[in-house]
This record gives sequence, structure tokens and C-alpha cells, in this order.
Amino acid sequence: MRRHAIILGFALCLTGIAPAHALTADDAVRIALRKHIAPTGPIHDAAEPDVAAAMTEFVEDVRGAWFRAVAARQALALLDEVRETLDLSAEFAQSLRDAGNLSALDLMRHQVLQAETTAGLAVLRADLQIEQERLAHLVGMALSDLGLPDKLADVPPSPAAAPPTASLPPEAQWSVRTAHLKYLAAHERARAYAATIVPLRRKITEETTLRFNGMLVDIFALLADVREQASASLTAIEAERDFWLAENALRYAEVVSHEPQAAPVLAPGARSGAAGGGH
Amino acid sequence: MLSRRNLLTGAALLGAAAVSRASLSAIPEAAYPAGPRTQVPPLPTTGRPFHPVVTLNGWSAPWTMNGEWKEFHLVAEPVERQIAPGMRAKLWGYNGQSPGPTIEGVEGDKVRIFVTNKLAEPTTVHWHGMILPNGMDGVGGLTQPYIPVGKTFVYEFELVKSGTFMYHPHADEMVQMAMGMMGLFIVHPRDPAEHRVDRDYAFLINAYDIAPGASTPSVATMTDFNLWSWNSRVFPGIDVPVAGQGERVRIRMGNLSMTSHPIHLHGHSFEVTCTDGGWVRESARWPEVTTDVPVGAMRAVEFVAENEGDWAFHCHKSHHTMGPMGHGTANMIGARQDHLEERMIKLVPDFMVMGNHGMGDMGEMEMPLPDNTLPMMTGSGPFGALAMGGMFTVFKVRKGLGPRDFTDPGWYTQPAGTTAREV
Ligand SMILES: [Cu+2]
Repeated sequence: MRRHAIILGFALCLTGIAPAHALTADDAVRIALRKHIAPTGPIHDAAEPDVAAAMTEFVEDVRGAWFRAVAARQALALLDEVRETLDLSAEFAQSLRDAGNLSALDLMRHQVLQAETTAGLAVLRADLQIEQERLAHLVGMALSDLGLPDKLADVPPSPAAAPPTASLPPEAQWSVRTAHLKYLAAHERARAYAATIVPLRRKITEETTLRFNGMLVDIFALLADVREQASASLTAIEAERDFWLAENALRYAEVVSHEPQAAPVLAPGARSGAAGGGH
Repeated sequence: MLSRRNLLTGAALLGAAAVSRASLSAIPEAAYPAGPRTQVPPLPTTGRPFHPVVTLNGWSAPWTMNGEWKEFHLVAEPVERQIAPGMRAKLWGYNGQSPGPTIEGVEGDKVRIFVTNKLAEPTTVHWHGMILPNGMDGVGGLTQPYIPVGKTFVYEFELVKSGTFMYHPHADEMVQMAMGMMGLFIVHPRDPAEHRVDRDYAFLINAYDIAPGASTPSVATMTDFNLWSWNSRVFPGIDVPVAGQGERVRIRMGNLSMTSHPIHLHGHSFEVTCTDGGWVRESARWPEVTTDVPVGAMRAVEFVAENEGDWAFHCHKSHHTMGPMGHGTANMIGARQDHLEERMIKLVPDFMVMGNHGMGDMGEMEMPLPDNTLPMMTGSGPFGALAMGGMFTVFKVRKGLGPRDFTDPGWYTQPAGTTAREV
């Protein structure tokens, strides 16, 4: 099947020079293919349907791992911010307690909130660590050498049109259709977070800061809103990641159901998903 | 500048006090004030002579003589009031403002007061403290039908005794008063020499609960008001009363808020000479420097402005001399915060430590606040921040002030060597 030859064509023309820019999804795919496929056997194996299908799936998997790893990197910084709001709340509470302004009961309420949430964050932090290490494992590099971009590319303002499926067999139509519906939903959610929810949370913190200035609310209310804002940003990153994963899945569905000239897997351009779009 | 508004041309009305179609054309036009600052009324040119009061941040309604009747026209309507520079409130009032215009008459006057209802709900006007026929008392459902939306009623009665009175709705009154519907009604003695003073000030005490960043009062608030106001104004928006040294001064105060206010004047002692019940016999007066004005009551105090200076004049409930503040917030006083400031600034770049030395800091700093929200403490004087809000103003006594001069003379220059000093 010709499409698999195209995949290999991309993989095999790589020079082996590490990218000078931040590692893009396509970089990751090239490096991973070189590591896992090129050394394992003769090139003509790729023309066998089973091998080719496995490779396409592998490409999708590496790209997915890349999106997850970049999102995880972003999320970890925000996790630190959430934790900092809790630490500060507890420390302010301790200051108040030291000054004789807070009961032992109220101090413990701040402390237990901090401890409970921090405990929950530990698991989340490990998950994010694993997301990054999985990509490092797939491309065969040390985590510190990956050179991931700081953030995922912004979600485009409007979603891609429904791919033409009329010529496909019913099973393929259905899988592309399903992937497209999921893609549309992920797009709507990610856009809502980027365009509405996160900006609103930011404005809310700004307004709360003004109220704090006027002694209309206290430090704990201010920290709670900073925490809500950081949480919304975390969810926004998750939504952005899910969009790019859905986009990746849609592409995969298209590739496995189309003739190769319709959709090359490693198409450069708007769909790369990397901030800055470097290739 | 008085702006004029057209009268409504409603259909004929039902009810004893309703104005018939035929008489609508005879209603005097409603007058409107020029703004939220004090407008010193002109001396009367028609009707019996009297010495008008000066309503702080208010004005007195003009009237039309119609035979032996003195005719006024109140329009109950939504209004916008500047509470102090930097904040506007959406209130209900009369003739474009809250409070409505002060109505002034003379003992023995026959008054005819037209009331047009431009609110979205029925209203009435009760003439608080006045002796009048039962059907003119203005209690909706009890003494009269409500004034329906868009209709004009007329009240007619004789001012049988002089004194200090007020008017307000007796229809959905919790809401209508929480929205600012009220006004002063002063009846002067028939003999202008009786109870004569050189300066006669008047204001109503009210309170609002307007959420920071909002502009309409919460009408269901019972106790937690955040704007403690005189004539719907708060410091530094309350105009300063002034007096020439040696002048006899009267200050009339009516309380239509939901709590009492111990009103305190520095530098002088005064006597309560009049309540909404009438004049207090001289033998029954005693000197004091603070008088509590109970809810739904009025007090007029009199004194000779003997002592030159800038004298604080305020409610003595200290939270009533504050602007809006948070309730149930953490008490930061004496708590160490500086060691956390840098970390806070990383999260909130505009962060600044508040309240750990007490709240006085706030009076000195101009921190950005939510829109349409007044600071908890503000204002400055010749020696620094005043750090005040709410029911606070300055009573200024000066030598050689002209009898009709009500302009703010600026800060008092204390004689050398008479200022508290560091030793
Ligand atoms: Cu008070």
C-alpha cells in the first residue's frame, strides 16, 4: 500500500541531526521511527500491510505522546501555582494565629484544606511526570534532552470542515464520522476555555484584587480566586491537549480509510500542533 | 438651572384624592434641582415671610400661590444620585433627586401638594409628624387608596403648627425608603422672630446597601448597610456647614434609616430645641455634645457658634464614619505578613499587604478599587489623611462671615502655638 511507503519515505530521509528548534510532534515521530523501525529489518517489510498498519498506529501514538508531554509540562507549572495558593493560605493563617487573631479550629481548617489538596496533587504530578517520560521513552532520549516547546499551539478559531467520506466503505465512513464528531466537541470545549473561561477567571481575580484593596474581601478570598484561576488554566490545557489528540485521532481515521494521496500522515503546516509551528 | 418636565396627561382618576382631568391643567410644573451640591434657597417673595433652611446637599421646592393655597408638585420617580465623587447610585426619589426637595411653609399656610407617581409601583406620601385630617395622612390602604402608577393625587391640609417634619412613602415603605424616597418638611413659625436663628441647616439621615461595583441598593437589607449617609451623601461628598463666629445656629436632623445615630459636634455644646413632636420647652432642655437621633425621629439642635475653627461633625458610631468595608473578613491586625509579600506578588502582581498596622493605612493610600465603589476611608485635611467616610463632615466657624455666605472658607489657620505638637 502506497501510503505506508510515504510514511517510510519521511522516516528514512531523516538525517539524524537533532532538531535545533524545540522538538515538534513530527520531530518526535521521525526520531521514534528511526529508533524503533529502521534498525529492525529490511525496508521492504514496510510494504507488507500488517507492518504498515502497525506503523501508522505507531505514528499516531508518538504524536499523541508528544501532545500529552507538552501539555504535562505546561500543567506542572500551574500545579505549582495551585499548591502555592494553598501553602500561602496556610501560612497567612499561621501568622494570624501567631498574632492571636485566629482560633486553633480555624487554623486547622486552613491546614487540612492545604494537606488534602496537596495530597491529591501528588498523584496528578506523578501522572504528568509519566506523560513526559513516556515520550522520552518512545523517542529514546533522556527527558532533560527532549527540548519540548513551552506550550501547545493555540486551538484554531474555527474547526476543520467535515472530511469527505462519500467514497468510503460504510465502516470507514463511520470511523471518520465518529472521529470528526469528537474533534468538533473537543474544539468547542477548548475554545470555550481559551476564549471565555480563562479570560473570565483572570478578570475575576483582577476584580477580587480590587476588592482586596478596598478591604472588602480578605487574603483568603483573594488566594481562593487565584487558585480557581490556576485550576481553570489547568483545565484549559487539558482541553487544548484533548483537542490536539482528537485532531490526531481524526487524521489517523482519515489516513487508514483513504487512498494515500488524500492525506499524508506527516503533512507539515497548520495541523502540526506545536507552538510556533517549527518543522 | 432648573430643567422642566412636562406633566403627565393622564386620564381622569378615581378616588377622593385623585386629580380630575379638568384640574390637571392647573397643576404647577414640577421643579428640578441643579445638582447634588447644596442650593441655598432664595428668600420668599410670595406668601408669608420666613427664614428658609439650608438643606445640606439639597434644595427647597418652589411653590405657586393659588389664592390662599400654596401649591407644590412632587414627582415620585427613579433618580440617579451622586453619593460622593466617584460613586453614583440608582435610587428612587422626588423631582430628580433623593432626598426629594425640602418643602417649607409657614404656620397657618394652606398647602396643596400634588404627587405624581412615575415609579413602577403604587406609592403614597405620609407627612411625618404633621397634624392633619386623617384622609391626608398618606397611609396606603388605611387612609387613602394608593396612588397608581402614572397617576397624580393631591394632598390638601393646613400647617397647624411650626416645627421640623419630613415626608416619605407609606406604601411598600421598606423598599421605597431603602431606595431613597424621603424629604424634609419644615414649618416656620408665623412670627419670623420666634425661634429665630442666624443659620438653619437641615438634613435626613439614611443608609444604603449597594454591593461594591453595583449601583442599586439591596432593598432587603435590614442591618448590614455599607453607605451611611446624610441626604444620600457620604464623606467627602457631604457639604460643609459654616457659621460666622457668634451666630446662633440650628441643625435639624431626621432619621429614616433603620438604626439610631448619636450625632456629635466638636467644639460646642448644644441643646435639642425641637423634635418632630414640636418645640422643646426651655426648662426641659439640657446641654450636650451628642444627641441620639432614633429611628423615625427628628432632632433640631441649637447653639451659638462661639469657637472659631474646623470642627468635626459626625455620627459617633465609628463604623458609620466609614465607607464600604467587608464583613466577616480575616482580622489582619498585628499579623506578620511582610515575609509572604514577595510570594504573593508572584501570584498577584498588584498585591500589597493590607491591614496589619490597623486600617489607618488605607486612608493614606489611593488603591485602585472596583468601579463605582468608594474607599472605606478617605479624605485629607491640612495635617494629613482624614481616613473617614460615611456620616462625617466639618462644621466651620469663622469670624466675619457674611449672613448669606455659605461658601466653604477652606481650612482653618490655627493661631501660632495652639496646635498639638511633638515634644
Ligand atoms: Cu450613625
